[in-house]
Amino acid sequence: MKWRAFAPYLFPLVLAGAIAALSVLLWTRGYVSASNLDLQGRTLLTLSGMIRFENVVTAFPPLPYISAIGLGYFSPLFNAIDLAVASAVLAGLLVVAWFRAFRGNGLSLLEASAACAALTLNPVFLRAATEGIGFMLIHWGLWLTALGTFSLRRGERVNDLMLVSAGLSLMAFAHPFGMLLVFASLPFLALVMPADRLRNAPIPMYLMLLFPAIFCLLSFMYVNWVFVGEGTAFIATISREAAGLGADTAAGGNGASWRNLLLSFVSLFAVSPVLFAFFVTARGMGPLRYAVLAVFATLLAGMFLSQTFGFFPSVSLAASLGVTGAAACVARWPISRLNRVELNLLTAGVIGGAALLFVDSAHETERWRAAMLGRNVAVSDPELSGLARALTGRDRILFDAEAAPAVIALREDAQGIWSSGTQEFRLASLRNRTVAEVLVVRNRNSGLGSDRIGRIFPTLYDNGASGYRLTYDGARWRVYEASDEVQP
Amino acid sequence: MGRFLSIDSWTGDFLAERGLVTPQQLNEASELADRWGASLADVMLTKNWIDTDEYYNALAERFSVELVDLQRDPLDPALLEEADVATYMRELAVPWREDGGITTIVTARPGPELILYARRKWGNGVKIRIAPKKDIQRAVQAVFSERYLDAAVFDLANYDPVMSAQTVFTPVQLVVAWGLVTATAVGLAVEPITTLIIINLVMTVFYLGNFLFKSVLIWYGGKNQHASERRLDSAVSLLRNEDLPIYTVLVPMFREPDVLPILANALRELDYPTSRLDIKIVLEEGDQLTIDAATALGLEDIFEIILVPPSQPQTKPKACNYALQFARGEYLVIYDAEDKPEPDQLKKVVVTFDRAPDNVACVQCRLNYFNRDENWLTRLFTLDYSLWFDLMLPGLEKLKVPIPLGGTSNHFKMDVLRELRAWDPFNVTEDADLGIRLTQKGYEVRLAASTTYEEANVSQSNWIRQRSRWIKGYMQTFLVHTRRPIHLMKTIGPLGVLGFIFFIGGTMLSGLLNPLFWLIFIFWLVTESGVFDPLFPPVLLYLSLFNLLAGNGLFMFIMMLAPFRRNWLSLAPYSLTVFWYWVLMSIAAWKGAWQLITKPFYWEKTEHGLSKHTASEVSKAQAGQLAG
Repeated sequence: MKWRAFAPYLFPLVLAGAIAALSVLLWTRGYVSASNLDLQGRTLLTLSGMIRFENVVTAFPPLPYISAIGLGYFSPLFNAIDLAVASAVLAGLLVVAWFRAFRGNGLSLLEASAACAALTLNPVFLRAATEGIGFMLIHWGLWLTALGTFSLRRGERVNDLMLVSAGLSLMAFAHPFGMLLVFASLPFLALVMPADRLRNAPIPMYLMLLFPAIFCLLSFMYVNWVFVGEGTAFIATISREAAGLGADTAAGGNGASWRNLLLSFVSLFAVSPVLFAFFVTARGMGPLRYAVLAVFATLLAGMFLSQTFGFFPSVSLAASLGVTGAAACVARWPISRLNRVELNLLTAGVIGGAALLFVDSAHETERWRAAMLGRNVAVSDPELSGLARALTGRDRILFDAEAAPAVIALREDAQGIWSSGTQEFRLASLRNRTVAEVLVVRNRNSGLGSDRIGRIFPTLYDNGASGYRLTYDGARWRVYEASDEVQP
Repeated sequence: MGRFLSIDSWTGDFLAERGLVTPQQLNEASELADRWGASLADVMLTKNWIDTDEYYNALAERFSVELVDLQRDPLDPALLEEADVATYMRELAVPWREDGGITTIVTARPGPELILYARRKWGNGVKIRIAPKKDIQRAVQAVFSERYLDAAVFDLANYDPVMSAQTVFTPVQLVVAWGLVTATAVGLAVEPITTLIIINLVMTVFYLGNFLFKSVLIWYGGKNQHASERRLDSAVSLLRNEDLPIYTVLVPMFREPDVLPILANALRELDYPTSRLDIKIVLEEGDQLTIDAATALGLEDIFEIILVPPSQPQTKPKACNYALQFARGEYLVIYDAEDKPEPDQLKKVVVTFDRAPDNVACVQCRLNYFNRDENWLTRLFTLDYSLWFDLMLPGLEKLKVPIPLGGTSNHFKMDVLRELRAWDPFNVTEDADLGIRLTQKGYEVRLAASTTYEEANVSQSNWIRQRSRWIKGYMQTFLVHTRRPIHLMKTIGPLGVLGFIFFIGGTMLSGLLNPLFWLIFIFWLVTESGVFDPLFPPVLLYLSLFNLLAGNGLFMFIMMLAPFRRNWLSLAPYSLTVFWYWVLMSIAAWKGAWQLITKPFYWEKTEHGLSKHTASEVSKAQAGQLAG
């Protein structure tokens, strides 16, 4: 790229660099998001060959997992900082994409830079940028969807159709919350379709917009059927833990209610007041008004659905998507109708975002806030940290590590683990006995039920095994260590 | 070139006095002639206001010169120069006899201008005789037919042999093919799993690359499309008829008597001054049915029939090459017999050429079908064409990747076409080949937002015949242009090579390879056999599944997008049934491959006129003609 073409991108690139620097800073202060921990552990297990290939290709959501495996192949000392930087890079690229779209819409260099800065420096966006690959992929998916949404009804270009389809597919396979956002978007897609086409051919229109997501889902189910024998097997792998949302559902949401819906509405308003401003000022511009409404309603309905199904990430993370929605508004708003009020409202979102971060009581947000303020950062999951400590330096550990991959990340390697991909694990499951030195088992009465060790040895958690002594006792996990080699 | 001549006023008055035209017709003709910059006679003849024989008899009487019957007393070949053929056709004046230093000229356009021209060309001692325009054209054709026929077949092969498909496989290509097959066989025998993994990886790269490339094309093609269409429309409205160049329209036909009325009607409806049209209906001499039908139709003066003498290979490009030598336009377009171009197409192309750089030598218009809702096949075919012409070709144009021209509605600059020795008569997709050749020679192809509607194949067997010819032609084109890979890379660039591989190579290769993968998959699915287990370890199985799913799903999606632009959304769900279309494509690919070896230059004829829409179009055209 020639310097003249490159120069205008300096500022967004600086912003992107700042996000990457922030992720490194947070890491040095001890903050690694739960989702990154989980993903790092899972990737370490995969790279060590301790997860069966079948389980790798059938795990949901596949996109962050496959991205992390790819990253692991290229990074010799793969650890959490790689994933944090990867997530920051995705966020940085998104900022560059915003800038490019703003310039494309006719904003001056200064206006585009100011708008980018206001959006990027919104604390909830920074929180999302350091959350993990999966969540940033939702942002990317929403960005593409929203861009298409704003133009589809006006321009009737096939490009916008592709943007919406690709964005929805990306969201659906990036994160369980993304999948729920896609479901939430279904009724609102009608708002952004060209009116004549919707009237004449509603089914083909929906088919075009949703085909990639539906086909990917069916393909994923087919892969599940081929490798695991059951098309819906992946559903069992979806959990708050696997999505990096923590084990405790109460941390993120308390189920759907009108109160939570109202909270979601307020959080979206606080983070991106500009969305509302655009909606109000779009008088006489039906397609734009419908598009703003569709983006906003999708986010709100997605929050509601995720609360219902227990996949609500945290109020600040969920509301961070409003920042991307606002960016799409600026990128597609007719330049003649875009005035300083809207641009100033982007800055107002920074204040709203900061306030929201202080109100958000989710454990992960509290940890992030502590890291930002230079305070002591609590561990992500005390029980898993305890478990990791109990397993550090041990060998011959029979452990269904896929049930708690974060333990592997906290332990920093998969050495000595006999997980489901190993011969020893298969022998144990076939013979119902093992020569392992350490047994790790999950409480069947925990929120997630038994792990595979618990299913092989149903009484292990409660009663232990002969020749093994209890060395770690948690509400969800117990560790037994051999006092001598006796079969359980 | 038609123009207002001084004889017009005398001729017009004379014809009116004789009662051969009405004063109103004369007034209108004068107005049109003025507006079009055409001669009065051309206007009256093209409008069919006067009978041709009566006109020429009156003309002979008016100028008191003899009317010559060129069939009874043909031209003297010794007096004609090959280099002057275009001039003969343009001026409609040809030397007929020479006696004692005096040359007798036959002309269809007598008058002072002709005498001045004839004196300049043949000296002061010239005599004038009159013959009808069509007789002069036919007589010139007869003199040069043998020489032109030879040129039509061998010109490219003699001038640029490496670009001709006359040699199907070069020795180097045969050695490379043998080497690849041997290496694969040895690999499968020695290291079957590794070889299969490599094959699958290559297929993954190929399918995904193909999809990504096509998605990028659709993306770029869709950007700013509406804005450029609006600009084109407004530029067309500013055109003045008198500034328009002569346009040659070639319509090669073979055994298609039924669709002639559609074609004639469609050409009559072209929004272009008829006097500036040089329409040539190109028929094979042995095709008496179509010749009779054309004669019986009583086509107006603007339609010229060119009869191509019989010779091998009997292909459309050979017929076009032959007719090209009689063409007198600045631009040239080819239409198929059943084509219905949008009326303003020629004007849009003129504007596109005017606004393009000098190296733009061809403008391709969009093709689509008028009988899209007739059955499953026509719907799928419409999706296929919409994807190709509406979404992908604009992308190729934007990225400056060589465009494999479609079968018809490609408009050329005449001088460039002649410079390149026109179409390769040995290539059965001569247009696709010419598109690549143009780019290799430094020229560009542009697209114009105007559609020509054709008849989609309604019969699967007919479709397979047509597609097998296309795929065979693609194979020929691929073989021709990969003879010098480095030259190809230098002339069309890496992106061009990529496009060439995916568009030309990809179409034929996927058609050939798909059945193999489908068969393995179906066998595995139905029998749940473990036969392939040793050959397909989990990683390979996943890769193959990925290919199968991604390959099919992604291509299904882009096909689904195809009708969006034209708002033919009811077609979109049919893209879910595209699998059978691919099966047909594979059958056609294997048929094409077989023919490439056994009958490389055989022109697999597509039957037109099978659609029930065509019958109704014929009735409409005939009714229109009667009303006209």
